[in-house]
Amino acid sequence: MSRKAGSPGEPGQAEGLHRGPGSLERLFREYAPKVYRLACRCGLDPSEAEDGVQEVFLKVQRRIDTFRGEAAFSTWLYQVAMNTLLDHRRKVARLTRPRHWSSLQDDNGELPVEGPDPGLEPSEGAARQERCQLVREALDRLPRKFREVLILRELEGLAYRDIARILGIAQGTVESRIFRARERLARELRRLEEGL
Amino acid sequence: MKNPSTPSFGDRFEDRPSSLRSEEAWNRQLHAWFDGEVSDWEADEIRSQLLQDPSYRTKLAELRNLRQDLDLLQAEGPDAATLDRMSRRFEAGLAREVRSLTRGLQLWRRAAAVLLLLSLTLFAADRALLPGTVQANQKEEIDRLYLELLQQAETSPSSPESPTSWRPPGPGPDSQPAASTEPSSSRSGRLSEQR
Repeated sequence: MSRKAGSPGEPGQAEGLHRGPGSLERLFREYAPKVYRLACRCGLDPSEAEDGVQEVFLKVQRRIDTFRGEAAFSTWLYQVAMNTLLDHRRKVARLTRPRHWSSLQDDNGELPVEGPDPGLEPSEGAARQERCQLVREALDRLPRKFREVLILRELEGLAYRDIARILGIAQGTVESRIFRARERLARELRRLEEGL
Repeated sequence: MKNPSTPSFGDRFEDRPSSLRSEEAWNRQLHAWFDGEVSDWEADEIRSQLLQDPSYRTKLAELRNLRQDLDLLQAEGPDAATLDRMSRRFEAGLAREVRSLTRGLQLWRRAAAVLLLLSLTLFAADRALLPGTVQANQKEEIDRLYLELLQQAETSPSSPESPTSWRPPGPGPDSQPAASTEPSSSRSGRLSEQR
């Protein structure tokens, strides 16, 4: 497991990074890789993730004046990024992606498998890809409020306190939301497995 | 599972039936413990619960499986080439934003200048030109029409039916013979002065 004890950091950690000449370029260099990873974790493919990153940073540029420095800059950035990326994902999914798992199958009922991990046996890699798509589909079926807490907790490895700050909700709400999100995800996974 | 009647530290659903309340509260607590979000003494309680209750251990195993599944969605960071491409795209996007902002500002400036000019013109016209002209024209027109009427009255034969034979109220023509012999121009001039 690749759990990370990630934290958006303390207030003022990135102080000065968002001010002064060339600040946006510095911000981009510092945070673009993180936002890119977040975009991929939100379900965007690499090229869509690039679009997502650009959208996030253009929005940051427009709204940088609204950052008051009360919380860590990265917390504020996470707020902007999560909203932008999930909106972007919804837009992309509506335009290009099949909505249901059944529509991912080709004419022979097979699931498309792209580029298995070179470190794995071919069959292992394919199984892993298949499972990955199944999990992605299950995650996509969750309501947004559940999806975002799971992404922030399970994939970004953030603490409840930080998630609460990012989403603007109470820590107790984060706890119960994560609990319900996991239950829903497990249920959706079971449904998809039964449907295959 | 913990006995439902036992009061639990994690019980936060007081308004629910106790059986449901305790199970849900314990499950929530297990999730929080799994995330490392409980205090030491809460962690001790969970551990002892895990040792006692096999169904609790099953739940923990399910949680681990779910986390492993979600770990499949972990993403690699962008490579140097991707980062470079993104950086260039971002700069281009910024430049586009600045250009459109500048264009927008220019449009606003032009619109504001036109509006200002229009307002000034209207203001000047309102204060200086239009009302004065209208009044002056009206006055001249009335004077001219009045003089025409007087001249018509002078030139036409006087008859009681004719509207042009009108005289100002007062004593009759017989009592003031000199008035009829007065030149019309001087009479109209006097009338103008009276008006």
